[in-house]
Amino acid sequence: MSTANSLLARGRALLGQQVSPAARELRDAVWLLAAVTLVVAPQLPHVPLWIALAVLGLIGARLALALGRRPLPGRWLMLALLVTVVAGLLAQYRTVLGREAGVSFLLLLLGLKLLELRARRDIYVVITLCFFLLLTQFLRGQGLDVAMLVAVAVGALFVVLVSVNHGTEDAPAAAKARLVGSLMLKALPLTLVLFVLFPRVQGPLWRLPGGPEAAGVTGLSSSMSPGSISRLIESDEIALRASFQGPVPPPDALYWRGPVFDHYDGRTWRAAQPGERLVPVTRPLVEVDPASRIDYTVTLEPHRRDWLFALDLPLDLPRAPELRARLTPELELVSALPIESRLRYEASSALRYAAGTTTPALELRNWVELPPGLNPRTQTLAAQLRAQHPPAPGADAALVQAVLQRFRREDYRYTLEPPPLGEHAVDDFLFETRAGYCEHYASATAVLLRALDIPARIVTGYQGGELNPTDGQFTVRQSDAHAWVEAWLQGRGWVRIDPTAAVAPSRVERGATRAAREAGLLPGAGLVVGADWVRHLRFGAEALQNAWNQWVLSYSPERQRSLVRRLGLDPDWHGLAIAFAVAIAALSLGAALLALWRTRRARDPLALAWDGLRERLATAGVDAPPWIGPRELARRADRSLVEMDARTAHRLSAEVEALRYAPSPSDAATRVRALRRAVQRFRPRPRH
Amino acid sequence: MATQDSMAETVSRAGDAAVSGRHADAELVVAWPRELAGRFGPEAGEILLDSRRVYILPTRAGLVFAAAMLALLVGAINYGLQLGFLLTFFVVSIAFVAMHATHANLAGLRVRGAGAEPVFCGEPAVFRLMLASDASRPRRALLLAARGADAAPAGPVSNVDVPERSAAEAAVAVATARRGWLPAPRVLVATRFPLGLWRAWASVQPAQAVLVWPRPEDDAPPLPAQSAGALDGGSPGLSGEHFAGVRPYQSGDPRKSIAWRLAARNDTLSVKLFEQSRGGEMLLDYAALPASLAPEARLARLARWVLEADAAGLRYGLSLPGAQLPPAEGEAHRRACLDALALARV
Repeated sequence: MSTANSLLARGRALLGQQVSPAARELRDAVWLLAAVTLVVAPQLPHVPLWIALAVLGLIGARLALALGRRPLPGRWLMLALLVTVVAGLLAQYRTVLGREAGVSFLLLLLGLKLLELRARRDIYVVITLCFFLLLTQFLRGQGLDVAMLVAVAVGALFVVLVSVNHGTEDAPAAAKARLVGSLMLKALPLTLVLFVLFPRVQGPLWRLPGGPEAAGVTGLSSSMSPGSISRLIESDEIALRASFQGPVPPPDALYWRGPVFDHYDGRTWRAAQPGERLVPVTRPLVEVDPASRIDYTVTLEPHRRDWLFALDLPLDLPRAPELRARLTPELELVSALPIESRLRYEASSALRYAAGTTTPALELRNWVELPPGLNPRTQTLAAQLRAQHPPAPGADAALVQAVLQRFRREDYRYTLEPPPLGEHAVDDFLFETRAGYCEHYASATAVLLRALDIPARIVTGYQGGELNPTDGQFTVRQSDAHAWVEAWLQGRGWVRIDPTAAVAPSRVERGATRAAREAGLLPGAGLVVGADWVRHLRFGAEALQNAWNQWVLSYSPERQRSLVRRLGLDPDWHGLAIAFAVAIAALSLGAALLALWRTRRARDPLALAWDGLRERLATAGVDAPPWIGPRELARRADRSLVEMDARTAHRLSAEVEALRYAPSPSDAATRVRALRRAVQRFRPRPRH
Repeated sequence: MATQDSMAETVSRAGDAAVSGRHADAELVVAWPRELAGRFGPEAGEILLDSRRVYILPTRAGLVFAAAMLALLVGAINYGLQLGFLLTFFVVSIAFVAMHATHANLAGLRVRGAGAEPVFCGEPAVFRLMLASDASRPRRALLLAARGADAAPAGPVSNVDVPERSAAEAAVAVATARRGWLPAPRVLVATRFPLGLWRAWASVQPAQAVLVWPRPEDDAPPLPAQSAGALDGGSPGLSGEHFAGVRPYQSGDPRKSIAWRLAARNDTLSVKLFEQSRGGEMLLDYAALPASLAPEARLARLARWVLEADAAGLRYGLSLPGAQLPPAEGEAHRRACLDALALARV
């Protein structure tokens, strides 16, 4: 019973106006804990479980201590906890620095600091730590949703600060939230000016620790083994966006060319190291059909690798500021630096081309290498196929067709969950399991072609994409990741062969995700197909996201310079400084005018009318100091004004008196307005 | 007395509540060139804290906050986080807007001295201040304290809210060390509201003073014996409380004792006689105290005796060099005696 009562009292203390210092301390602590929870919650799913649990435990412990009004732990216990935490972090990450370890360390530090919340200063320390944690949240994503969440958290943190700074009298939480809201609203223009005009520099100040895996970035990797692409199919994350200047090419032409792999070790395909090649590779001769040229702009999501994507086959090097791109002999587009931030470039491609028709035979030996002693049944199959197609012009093309026919005719399945493969992976796939995803088919085809002595290599990238009708942007997701084969044929050069299309034509025609859903490979089949409004909603959301990306996240030094140039200023720090000064001056002027308008509006309109009347009479020579009343003013007007104006002065003074001192009439507001108008029109003339 | 006690209590309560202790008190003031702070002398009437006399600087928390924002900015630059820039600039802008809010929380406040009750030396003197505001939003968490010689608060900090378009009373306490008139101290009015990142302050000195009575001696000897000559065997005298009859006028009788109404009815002048309620009459004489006692100690003893005589309901007079108070009793007399002791020139 008494517990219930005391809980009730505490509840009242949380809401009430006049609360004791102890109750306020409790309430501030609860508010702070709520804000901290808001800050740490989005981080918790991304840190090791024990860290998430520890942070939640620390918050819970602090809450329990506050509610129970128990003393905080002593210095030695805190020291022991700190040592434990650092030891745990070292065991987990071998460091307390770096991205992931740093975030975990910050989280735990924040949790520990909560147990040390004694003085006012500690609250500021906690709130500062919270701002750092909010910043680290952007390392994972900078979408509109993240921004909203962070804005709410910032508001909550400031509400805590306002609450802590209240005096002996307290205000309801809503009033504090309103105050913070007004501060945030007033801060927006300045924020915008600072964001637009603060000088931007390119690139990191120091190298970031950890590669793409450490950062949890999904995307294609620098090698391909069974499962490496099918793990991407469930990721809805966007890989790149494109906007085409002309019509969007047909789906079966949408092959976004990425890294090319030519070295196979029996399981994994990867790019050959320079020493592993038999013969150095030279840039092949490329002939294109000019009619098939298309121009488009790509916005590439950061994937922390150096390759760029363009439709097969890129014609020119992409044009983008400070992007030093080149085309490798394998016809991959790569940038000089890893793509650490969202990148926008213009590209052009030819959909019909012939590449490498003149590549010397010696060089082609690079692409028929196979690990010795593996996949004997595939070798046998290759020998049988060779026997059926005696060497002749066009025999290689016929062999390729034979291989594709095999996938098409025989009982091969397209699945996301293929059975495991043994040591002779291609043998197992071709003759036993007969089930796999695009990497299985691509790998098996390349091996079989090489066994047939046809030069072949793996190309990875994306296939297809989706047009967002809301903003006309073409969106390619991680789930569109794909792998196909290039074979070299006499007279035709490198030819794209997509064995997956032979097995599951819908994969190429309609995109991986939809094909997978329709085939029942992914959950949610039937839910998305046909639910058009869901698609529209998603398109709208993605258009918004894209605008956000273009205007906020891709605000590069180049964009800043072009903006300053458009303002007619020099695009250097000089111009920025001028623009900044002008913007600040404009903001200050606006704020001052707003404040002036507010004070004028805040003044009693009747008092304004009265002051106006006194001023008017003073210009006509009536001595009208502020301390005289309406009747005295009228008497003085009598003495110095012409009779008609004196009567007007009498009438206006009487009106002021009636409105000010008589019981307020129902039409007071209208009468005050009429009075003010009359005063404005009044032009008293002095008696001579 | 009752008002004074409650005032003192208010101040101490406010002081306790003023965000926990010394740290907050020290933050109330920053050392500032004396001549600049002392630009305004004591001012009579209402003092408007206009923008010209409101100063503002970051608090220690504000400086730490600024450093953190710098670190945040470096992080945003290094990781190329556009949202990091946005977050940093947003928070910095909020802090900047808060500077104006803090300034506006103080600027425009009107301060007026609202009197003070006399105190005994050694007790804190409590000056009341009336804070009035025309602002359309409440002024919150105004901190007031007397400014000591070393620009530090010389007394507890009181924490007041002034509601919108309204007024509130605050109290500032200062220690007393000497009897006599004590002018109101220079008062620091400061605020850190709303975020505590900035501290705006102004200093005012309302023209008012409080009389400090001598501190009553702690172990004073008992009251001197009631003087027989002054008592006259309890016979009625010309002053007292209870009317005891009339007697014919004799030359030398004070005029205000004449019963004029009676004189209007017959031709002879009469004077009214009064009786003492109880006890006798005594004279507390500065000159009668042993010469070995220091002058201030003599005043202290007299102060104690005044209090004791008053508590015992005695009639007592006070004789000081340059001041004579004829025997009387009651609250007004007690205060008159204490005032005379406070101002005695010895």
